[in-house]
Amino acid sequence: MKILYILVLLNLSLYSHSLKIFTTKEADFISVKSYFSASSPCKDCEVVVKGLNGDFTCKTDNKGMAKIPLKINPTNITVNASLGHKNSIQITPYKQEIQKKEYPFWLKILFGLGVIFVFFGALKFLGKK
Amino acid sequence: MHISEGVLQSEILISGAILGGGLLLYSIKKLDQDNIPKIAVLSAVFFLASFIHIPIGVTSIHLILSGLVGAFLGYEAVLAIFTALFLQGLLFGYGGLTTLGVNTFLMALPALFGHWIYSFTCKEKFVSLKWFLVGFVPILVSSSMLSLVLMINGEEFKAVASLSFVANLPAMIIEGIITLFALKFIQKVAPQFLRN
Repeated sequence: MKILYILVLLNLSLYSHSLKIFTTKEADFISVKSYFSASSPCKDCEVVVKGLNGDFTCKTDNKGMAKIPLKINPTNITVNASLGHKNSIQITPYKQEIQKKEYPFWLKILFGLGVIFVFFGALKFLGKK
Repeated sequence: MHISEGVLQSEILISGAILGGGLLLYSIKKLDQDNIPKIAVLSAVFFLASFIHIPIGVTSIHLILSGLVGAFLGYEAVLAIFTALFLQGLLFGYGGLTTLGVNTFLMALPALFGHWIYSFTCKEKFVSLKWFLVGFVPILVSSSMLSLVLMINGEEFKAVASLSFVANLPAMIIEGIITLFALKFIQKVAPQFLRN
């Protein structure tokens, strides 16, 4: 029982030093958050990013946060903490979203009014025949 | 007032489509060719009125003018309202195509109340009150029907149903006043349009 207790304790201490990485996509960048499980952020850690459009290197801030520009299209993010603590994650390359052309509000109103009058005009025309 | 897509249960959507479709078919059956230009103009009025939003607390209300449309068109108001709702859903996402039947029924049936009130003969001194009610009553009926539909839709919609009714209370008064002034203006500039 004592051996089991010691093993669990040792295991927990190892787990507390595991480095976690979380990424979220924001407007024009990918936000990276890295921390150890003891809720301590990975401060000033090196972030190495490999992307389809080039590589990028930066350091995390005091909150363990770093921002990666989306234009490099990252595929792999590695966070390098001191004393051999290192973790990396794979990212699916970002596909360029097809920008839907949004017409101005007033143009849509004019179009709607045009359709109404054309529709009823056609109805009147067909009714005469 | 428009119910968005993905909110209502399929049973309500189907019932709304049947009722709205039935009303629309009856309107087409009653269609008078000479009235088509008038229907087009009032459909455009209805289409434009919804873009005037009035913020009320956490929600917002907008003009509908279904009473005014109903007063002038009678059963043909259904066709005018349906056309405008279809384009609002298609171009601006107000309501939607699956809720078109429900929304048509919610706004077009009360418009007929506007027509019946408008056609009601009354003493000269009560004409202003009658014209106010032409605008007021259809919104009251529409709001009540909207709340009822939301309540039937599910327990979680009861709060929204009450809120939408309360939010539309000022709209009823505003629509009544706008309809009153619109009809007074038409009486002054083109009284021939006011003849039943």
